[in-house]
Amino acid sequence: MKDVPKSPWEDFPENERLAINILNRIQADNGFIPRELLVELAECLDIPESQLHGLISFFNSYRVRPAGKHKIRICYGTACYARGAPLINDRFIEALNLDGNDTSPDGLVTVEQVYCVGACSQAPVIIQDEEMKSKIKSYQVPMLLDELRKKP
Amino acid sequence: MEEFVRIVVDDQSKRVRRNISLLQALKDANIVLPSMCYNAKLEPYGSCGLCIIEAYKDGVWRVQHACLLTGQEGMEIRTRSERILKLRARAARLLLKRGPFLKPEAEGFLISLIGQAEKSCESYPDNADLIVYGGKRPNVVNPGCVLCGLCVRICRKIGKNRLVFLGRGKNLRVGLVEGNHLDNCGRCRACRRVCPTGFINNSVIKVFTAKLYK
Amino acid sequence: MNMKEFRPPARHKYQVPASVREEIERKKKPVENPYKLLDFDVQISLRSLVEEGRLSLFPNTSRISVGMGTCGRVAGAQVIARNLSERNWENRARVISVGCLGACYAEPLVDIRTPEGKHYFYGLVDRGSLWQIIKTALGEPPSHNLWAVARERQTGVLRGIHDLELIKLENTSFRDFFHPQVRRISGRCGLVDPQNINEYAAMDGYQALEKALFKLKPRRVIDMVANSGLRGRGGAGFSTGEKWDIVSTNSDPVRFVVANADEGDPGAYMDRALLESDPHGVLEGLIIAAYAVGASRGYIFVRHEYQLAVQTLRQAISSAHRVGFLGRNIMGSSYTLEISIVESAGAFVCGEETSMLQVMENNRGEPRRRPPYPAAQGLHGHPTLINNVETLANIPWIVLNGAEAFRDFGTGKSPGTKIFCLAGDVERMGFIEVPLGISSSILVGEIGGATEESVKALHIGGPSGGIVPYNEFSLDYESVAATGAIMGSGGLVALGHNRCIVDIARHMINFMVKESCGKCLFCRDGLPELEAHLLDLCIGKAEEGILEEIEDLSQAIADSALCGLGQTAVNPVLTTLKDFYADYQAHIKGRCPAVNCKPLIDFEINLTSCRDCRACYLVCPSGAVKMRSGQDRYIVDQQLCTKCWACYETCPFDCIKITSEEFMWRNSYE
Repeated sequence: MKDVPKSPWEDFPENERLAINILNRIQADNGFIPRELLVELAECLDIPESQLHGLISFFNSYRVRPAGKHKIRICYGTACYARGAPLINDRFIEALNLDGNDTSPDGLVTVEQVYCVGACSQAPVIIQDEEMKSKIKSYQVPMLLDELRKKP
Repeated sequence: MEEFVRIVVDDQSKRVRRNISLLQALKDANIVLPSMCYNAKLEPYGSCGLCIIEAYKDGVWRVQHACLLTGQEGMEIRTRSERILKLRARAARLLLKRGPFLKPEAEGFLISLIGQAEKSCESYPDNADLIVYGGKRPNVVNPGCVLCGLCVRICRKIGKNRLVFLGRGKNLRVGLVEGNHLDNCGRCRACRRVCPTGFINNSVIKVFTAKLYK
Repeated sequence: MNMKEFRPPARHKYQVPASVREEIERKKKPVENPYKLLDFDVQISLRSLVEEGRLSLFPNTSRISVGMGTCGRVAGAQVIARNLSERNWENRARVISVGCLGACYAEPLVDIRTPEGKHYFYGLVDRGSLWQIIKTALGEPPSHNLWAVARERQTGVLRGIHDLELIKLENTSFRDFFHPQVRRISGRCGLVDPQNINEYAAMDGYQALEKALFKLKPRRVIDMVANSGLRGRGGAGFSTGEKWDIVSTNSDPVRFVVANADEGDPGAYMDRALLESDPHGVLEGLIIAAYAVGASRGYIFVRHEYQLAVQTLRQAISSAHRVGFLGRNIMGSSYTLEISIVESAGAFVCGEETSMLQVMENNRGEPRRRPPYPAAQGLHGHPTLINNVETLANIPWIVLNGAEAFRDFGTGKSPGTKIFCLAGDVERMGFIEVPLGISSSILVGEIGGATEESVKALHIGGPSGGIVPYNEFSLDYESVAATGAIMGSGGLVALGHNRCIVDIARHMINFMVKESCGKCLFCRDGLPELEAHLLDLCIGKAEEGILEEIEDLSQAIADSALCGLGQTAVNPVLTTLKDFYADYQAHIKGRCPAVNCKPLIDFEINLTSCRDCRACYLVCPSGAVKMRSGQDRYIVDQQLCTKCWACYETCPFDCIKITSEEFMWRNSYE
């Protein structure tokens, strides 16, 4: 069990105690927004927790879990897009159980979409950590993940 | 305060109630507009885009959502003009792409809306399915859910406020926020009753898999 | 009036904070001797600030101002500033970080003021010109790298850049950039130290607040703003005076003001520039606005991404607090105001005012229906005045100089000046302030330095604006609306002939798809469909009849989306369909006239002029440039080419040709 960080809203002036300001601070302190803090915040501000969930998911910059151990970037440039980048992305979402988040629940992989990496003839392209892999077919995704799991 | 106002609906003068959603007021006056996200007991939301009407203001006919309007004295609206029927058909097409729906009535209802528009300009094709989907359905999260928000609103009103919209834009989906123990949904099944497409056909925990925290 | 007469707040959860309630209670009591007695003290306080500010603005040593706005930092101003400030000046010069002068193309920009009131400007400063700067600061005549020298018209008077006159010009672009401009509200930017409230006071700052608090009744301030004809600079152009009037005449005594600094438009950054370079100008405008409408609580809603602006703003608020221009009894008057900052976490839609209020009420930022407008029923159900940052920055000027003077520039319906952000295919980029109604050719041609032929189209007003052909037209709210675009917040991107209009329209829709809140059907599901159609065009898969469908769908979205964001999201498509129809048609046939859409273009080597220098062969990342078998000439293998433009950009003899041909094969296959 991680130690729960101190509630950061206590030193907020009363008139700046908006959920969004506090969430920004939590995110800056922790790198993501831990659920324990969220539950506490919901009680403190007297807002239903579900409302905070909606608020967090609405904004681009909030993360709900730390970034994963490995990073996979899928090129979403026009050529890759046309040749199946969305299929690969969907496969990742399915295989890793991502559901709108970019990091798998076990913290193994973070999946991101990037704009054209300039290798359009090799489309579709993914970048696994720093290594570029080209002409990926969506059925290769599970194998790719198996390899990653085996890595130390 | 006066309860009723006179408005002109499709060139006919009508007496409708004010201070309530125009959609409901028209319904009481026997003018039923199609709608998927409206419930008289809940605050109007304006998500489905089916109840659109044209309202006359400042010399132009503007498209408005009837559920978000209230009756004003002397207001002029049109509910069945060609433009409205076409827009409504377009809305129905967009909604159908979120299918397939478990309730066949929902599908039939939407297809009939497309039929209304296309009859008024050209003959209605037999193979509606192909016309509607164009052979390909887009990838949507939670197929079968039209994101009308009725379940979210009813859960906020009479439930335990556990349902919430997550994400935004293309990724918008309804999610369930679980509490500390599994037994946090009141099991009132209100969401199941209001769901217009039959998407909620099981316990909400099984239906709404979208979650912020796993 | 007792507490029972209060209209109950709209949300049952919300309770009026104790401080607000206290404030109302206090207001109800007649205030004896409201400001006469205190007036004297305040004069001294502001005057002492001015004195201190003058000492730091016009020191008897040299003052070196380094442009340290975000644009300057990106260009490397931090290194310059560090090098300069680490030097032992022996009290002969002082190094100050200022904001951006507007000439972002010239960053890093350094301005040296000598004790006799001369300003030496150095643009595009690098290590090479560092020594020249040091020499100038030490009083030796500069030899090279200098851009311009200006003189204070009256030594020791500097209220804005208009108090400077050029006496020597080494780089003519500097004059071309500044000459057509009228710097009213951005005049202090880049001259004043944004961290220093004294300097701001010395440049006529907070004079307007003092005038408003002690010489003008709130009603009079509102009348002034209404008479000036100032219109909201955020996009829609609603009359500011009218808005203030609505808020101030509301019977609800709890009122709020919000400064909208959630500037999401890609390509528009005037709010950031103002907040970074002259935060007190905005703050003063906000305080006056709050005083005029009788609000006791103010918020500044600013983007999370603008970290520097947030920092500067926090600093400005705390220093205004320290000298008593904020908080209890501002300047000793009976007026009290607290201002706090709200940081948005990244959503374009939050620039829409109802969406912004939703976020401030801890809800998802989905726009709600208007009416009721926020001016009547806003934050927590109380009347709320929401003004754009640039609008607020206009207020001190109007209060100080009067409504009549404000109309000296601009057109009858759109008086005053407007800040535009110029970017794209122009020589000189930056933020500029010009009178409304100025001709587009002056803006792009004279200030931007682009030739008539090089610019094909103008993209006005960000993603909800439009793309219009580059013709001569007047830049005011009505004329821009007549072209089909909207003024928006004033982003202006010049597009050259090598930019594909269809691709840019697609890119804009793509942006809006990501930023749509998803509440209403047409915006959530209609826009992705529209984007898919446009993508089909860009990759050459479009069918005949798609243009009618695109137009129809765009019109449907414009008609039936719920909020302003959705209704205007299709503007780039609608305007380009009107003015660049031929481009769309060419794409159906598989040709990209601007040779930009990658799937539709081919790279070829012009063998008659090729000199076999192998530059393209070496630079090609995918090995597509090959030796033709049997011959020793290079060709591009179309199968391998990634269309990365590397060969095109490298070739020293311009013999790489990009072609885009209409499909020949489509008919033969089918």
